[in-house]
Amino acid sequence: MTTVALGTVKGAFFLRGSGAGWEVDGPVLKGWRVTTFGTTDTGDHLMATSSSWFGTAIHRSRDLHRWEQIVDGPAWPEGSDRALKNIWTITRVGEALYAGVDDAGLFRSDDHGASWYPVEGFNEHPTRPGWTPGAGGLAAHRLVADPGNPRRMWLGVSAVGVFRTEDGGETWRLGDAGVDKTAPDDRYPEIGYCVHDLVADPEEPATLWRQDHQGVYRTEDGGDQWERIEAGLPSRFGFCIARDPRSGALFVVPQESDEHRMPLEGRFRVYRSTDRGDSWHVSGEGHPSALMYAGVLRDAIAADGEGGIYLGTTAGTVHLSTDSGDHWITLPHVLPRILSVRVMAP
Amino acid sequence: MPALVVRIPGMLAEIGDGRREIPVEAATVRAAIEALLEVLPQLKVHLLDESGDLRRHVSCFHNGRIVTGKERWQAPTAEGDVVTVLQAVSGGASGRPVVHSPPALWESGLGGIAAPGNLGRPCR
Repeated sequence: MTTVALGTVKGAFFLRGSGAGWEVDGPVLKGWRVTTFGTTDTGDHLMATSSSWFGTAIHRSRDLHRWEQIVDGPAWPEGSDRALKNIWTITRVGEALYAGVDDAGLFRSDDHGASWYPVEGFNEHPTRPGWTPGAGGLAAHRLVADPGNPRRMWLGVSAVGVFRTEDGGETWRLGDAGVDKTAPDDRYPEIGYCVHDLVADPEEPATLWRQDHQGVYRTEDGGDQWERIEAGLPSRFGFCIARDPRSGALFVVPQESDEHRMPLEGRFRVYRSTDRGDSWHVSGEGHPSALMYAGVLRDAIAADGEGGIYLGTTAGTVHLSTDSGDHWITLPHVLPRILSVRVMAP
Repeated sequence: MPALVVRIPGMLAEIGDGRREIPVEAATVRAAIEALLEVLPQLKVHLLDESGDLRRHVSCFHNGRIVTGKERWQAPTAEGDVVTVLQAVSGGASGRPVVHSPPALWESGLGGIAAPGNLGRPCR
């Protein structure tokens, strides 16, 4: 039995099942925007929420049924000119937890999520005066750590770039060479790169892949230099990129362009690369045959490590493969717009 | 100290303790909100922004009348008063304020919707 959490704009849903039999229950925290999920080193589940009226918070659960809000969650200090609008990622690195937020910031917890403190080396980075929000906000949204060296991490920030630390977050430097800029600013030549998502190969931690506003890229030297890897893709634009740990395959869901942001000609297709991004092909069989003008957002695709790939769309549909992308099924349920998908219990 | 009730919308009740009416004792409207946050401290981040004021899209009513400005924020309360916290809504074709009766909306189970004219003028 696999449990997959689905974060939507109107609450969380939980997908449970195996093979061809899947059930969805929810919503939990009905009405709240559920932006991402996480897990502590003690096995607690975490869920980040926000709303257009109320603030942002993290909730904790032992059993995915009963949720309790963490009172001392990530927060800018009172009097700050920054606002905490959304928590876009909760990432565990060893025993520590990191939360990446909008307005762009990084917070750390050393007590399993009970309290959080700002990572000043990132939050007060010298380039911060030049950081400008994109259409989706000013979001620090994806943290990737080197499993062999947790002091080495990469952090993606929309419309700014990819930051890397080698000292556990004390200092950060940008690494986007080879990527086309989206928001160039002569005053801050090192920023202006709009990374949408990052994924790494834990076996080769210097290799990362990136779905950027400008295309799909790979680095094999930890981010010093990036190269385009788009052979076979129908377009460069998209939001998510994921890796299946079992097969090593990569997955993206291309969209027509940054202007239109929907599948080309209404054909919703997941693309897969089985050669580390050198080439891409439509992933297996079973994509929707009817027109489908929906996309997959950054955090709305997840792998379970056993060949299961799960994704949710902006139209609220859920699609999954249990064989590393050879065959796909579309569930009959239609949920609210899906922001986040996370395997909670494979 | 007057005993009164603070009413909160369903979204906040869900992350509180399930209650939509929280009895408190407070001498002013502001003190009533502070008393609410003592009972349910997890609501602080949802009601107050980084400035320490009520969030821009959160409105507050005292016995059905919107609370605006410092003076009314400090308005004295009486035994049996009702302080209602609601989410505001913006928009509308004319842009003119439409005043709803917050208790009526609250009782409708919709969680409460405050009028466009309330936007940006919460209890301060």
